[in-house]
Amino acid sequence: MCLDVAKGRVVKGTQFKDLKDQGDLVDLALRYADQGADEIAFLDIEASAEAAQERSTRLDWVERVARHLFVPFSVGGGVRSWSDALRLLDSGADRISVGSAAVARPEVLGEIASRAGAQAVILSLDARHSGPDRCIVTRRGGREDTTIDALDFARTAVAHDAGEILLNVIDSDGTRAGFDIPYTRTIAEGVSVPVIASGGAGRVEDFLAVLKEGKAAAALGAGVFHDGTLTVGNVKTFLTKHGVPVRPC
Amino acid sequence: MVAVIDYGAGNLGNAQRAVDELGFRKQMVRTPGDLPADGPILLPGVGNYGAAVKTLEASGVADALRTAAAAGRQMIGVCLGLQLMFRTSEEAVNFLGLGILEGRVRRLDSRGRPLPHLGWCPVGKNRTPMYFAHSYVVEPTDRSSITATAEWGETFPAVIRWGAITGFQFHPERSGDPGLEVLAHAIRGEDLRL
Repeated sequence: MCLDVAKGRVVKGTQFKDLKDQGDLVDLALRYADQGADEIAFLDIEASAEAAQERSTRLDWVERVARHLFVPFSVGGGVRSWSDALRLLDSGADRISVGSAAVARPEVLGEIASRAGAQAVILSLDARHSGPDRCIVTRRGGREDTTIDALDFARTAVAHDAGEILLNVIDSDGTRAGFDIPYTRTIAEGVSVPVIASGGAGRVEDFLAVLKEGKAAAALGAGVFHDGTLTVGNVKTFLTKHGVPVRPC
Repeated sequence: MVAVIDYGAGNLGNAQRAVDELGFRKQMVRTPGDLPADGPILLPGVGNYGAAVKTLEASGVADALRTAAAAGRQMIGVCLGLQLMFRTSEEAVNFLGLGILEGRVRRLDSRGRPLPHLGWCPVGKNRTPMYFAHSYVVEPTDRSSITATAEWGETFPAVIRWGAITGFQFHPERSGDPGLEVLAHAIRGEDLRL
């Protein structure tokens, strides 16, 4: 379950644009936890957009979530250093996702992992297709393209001790036309750590496909859950029926 | 009163909040002087083995924990907190841990599955789903101390009970209501019902 956060509220856009308010983040986090969400990923999308002003992810909402939520959650957006990560961990985040800062300086992943452990470090990889089988890395939530190959970068991140890769293929984000199965598989087979697929969930079948054919260790949904098109329970029931072991709701 | 050991790796907050949620009083411990005279000691589990050992040794808390364990004090270790109770870990070969449990910590043999092992996994005979986030597992010399196992590639110890010590490889504080229940049983020194 992924929640994009801006000003302490949950928002959702398409391809990181046209943000719409979805509600209070503690209410939503608890609702999804009750539905059986295994893990909740929070991304402070403004923290990254305002990186130029060196604003780090605000912490008050992280503490508010941690007081109420007893399933794991990760927080990302604007994390540039171990001290940024430590503030989030101390506020209650179980795991930290690092995006733009890791593109600029992959060593930051290792700096966090050497203290908090690799399991606490997620590379948030926003990839955009530059060809049918290739993607490049983007920065600042997809607002800025780089020339770096996304698979090469995923491997670099793992060499720097990233414990997981949250792969968001921007071309699919918000389309509800399904996850990018071939590219998810490319990354999942190219690294040793678990890959979480993100971007494009629309139907229960999409989750099954990305876990089976895409070789993702987990799959993330946002919009389809926010507007009630699907519940976490719907997805899990479907997965169980098709032989994918999931935690019962 | 539950003594919660702080070794500065971040995210000890969630162990504290779980203790609060369960209605126990708690004392945060950063120096040996912070350690209450009795009651259970909770060693939470986030971080790197070497970094944690360094902090615990520098503050003198490591020795206080060895003394407490030798006196038969009730202790609960979670994930890295459990691993720290052993003397050596493949995660940090140049560091020696607390050595209050015999055996070692080694890398999980996931048999080709992704590592770290992250996510929910059934534990024990009731197959209760619990949340794991680790790359290393404990290997106690006394195999009879393993009271529940889980599987990720290989089958590995999920719960250790040895004397007054309880260790969890999973995170009961992040495993929803079933996790909180198991943690409460451990704090009260009861059967875990796993």
